[in-house]
Amino acid sequence: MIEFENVSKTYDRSWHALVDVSMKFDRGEFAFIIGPTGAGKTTLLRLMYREELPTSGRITIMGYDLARMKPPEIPELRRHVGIVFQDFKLLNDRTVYDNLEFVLRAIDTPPHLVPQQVENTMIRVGILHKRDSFPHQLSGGEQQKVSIARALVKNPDILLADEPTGNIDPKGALEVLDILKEINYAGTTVIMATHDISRATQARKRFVLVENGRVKTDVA
Amino acid sequence: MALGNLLKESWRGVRRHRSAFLMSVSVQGICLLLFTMFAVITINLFSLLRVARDRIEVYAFITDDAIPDDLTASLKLVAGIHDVRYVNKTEALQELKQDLGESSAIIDALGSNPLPASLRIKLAPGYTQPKNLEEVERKISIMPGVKEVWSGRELLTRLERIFTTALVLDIALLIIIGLAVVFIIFQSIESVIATRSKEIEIMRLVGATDAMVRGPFYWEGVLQGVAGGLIAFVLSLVLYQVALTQLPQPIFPVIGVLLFNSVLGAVLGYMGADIALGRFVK
Repeated sequence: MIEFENVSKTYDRSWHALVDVSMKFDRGEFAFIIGPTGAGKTTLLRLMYREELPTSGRITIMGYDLARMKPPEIPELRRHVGIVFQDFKLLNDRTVYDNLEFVLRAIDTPPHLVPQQVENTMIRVGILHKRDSFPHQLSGGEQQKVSIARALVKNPDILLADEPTGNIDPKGALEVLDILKEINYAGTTVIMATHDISRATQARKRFVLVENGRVKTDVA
Repeated sequence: MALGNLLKESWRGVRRHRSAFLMSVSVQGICLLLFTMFAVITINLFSLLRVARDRIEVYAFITDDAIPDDLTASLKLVAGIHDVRYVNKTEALQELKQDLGESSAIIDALGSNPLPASLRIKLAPGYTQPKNLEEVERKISIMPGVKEVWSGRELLTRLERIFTTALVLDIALLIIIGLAVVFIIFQSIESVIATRSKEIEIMRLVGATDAMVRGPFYWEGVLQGVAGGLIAFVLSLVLYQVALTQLPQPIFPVIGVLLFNSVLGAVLGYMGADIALGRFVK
């Protein structure tokens, strides 16, 4: 489903964010990308949602060769990929419901399907009771749940989470992790980048250790 | 993005930046009003010019021994002459008296009729331009029996010159005001883009197409432009009502001005938004 073949990414001709990375993620897999800050985890994710292009090597996701994609194909790819950010990136002037609805409207979902789809997703993530709240009225954990719901509302095949537990308390972090596992259980491929190695190893899922832009360990 | 969604997003943007939007459309309205005023003045000048061209008549004053019928026949052979009417000395005097009205007693005081007989010549439509008129005048003036020729060509030439100057001014004004309005809308959309950068980022990341991301901004630009155009239209209508009390029957093509301002506003709005998007939304 996702394949990296000898992928390298260099910034400013001298900073090597990724060096000769080769790996593969199958459909329905849950994997952690772990490593210290600056190891190249975020770069890996940014390459996966085609926010960046590799300097060399090849990345294919769901049959799309990311380097050879035409610009109109990028939105097509991104509709299959949900992204969760450490800083949530929620729209602060919109309610929880509106944040989710915004995504569906942006991808031209038929209007009559929107309310049900938003509601189902809020139920799935456990934030239905917060539907009319604004982000600033929510805790960090709740905001991250909204962020996950927003990524999930369009039913993606892949969910990429970049340090989703980084800005929230331990209890909230556990809840977020449980939600991600449930999402994966329902069939979505989940790839989560984190620097919290102990949490990743405790989860008993595949983890890829990245250091200085290189894959050091890949344990299934 | 469906049209409904696009409009909804654009309207949401307008509502969120109400004061900036109002400020922007007011300035645009005043700019476009300036152009509308000049354009309407030019339309009125053109109408005046057309009336003058339609009414233009060449007066060929003839000598006492000239035979009007012979001259009329000769004149009708000249290219551009549509109709010739003979006015004898008595008719000319009566015309003058009519024109002078109550002051016609002055004429009676003269005793004898000093006015010459004349041939009043109507020209074919294509021959009322000053250049053609001059040529016709020249041909008439060299005919035997013609003492003097007068046509009011100088007045027509002056009117044409004023009209041409007004037209050039209009075009220059349209360019300057057009650029100013595009700049105003560009700045307005630029600030909207800046405040909605997070929305743009999210839209792109969730898979919105380029058209979906940019569409609302184009609509907002067009909406601003049309609103500015409508303000200019309403203000010019008010000024027209004032002008009606001061001028005899000025022309004001209501539908034309409304359509022109709306379309011009929409085009300028689109251009402003396009430049802003080109610079700030890659």
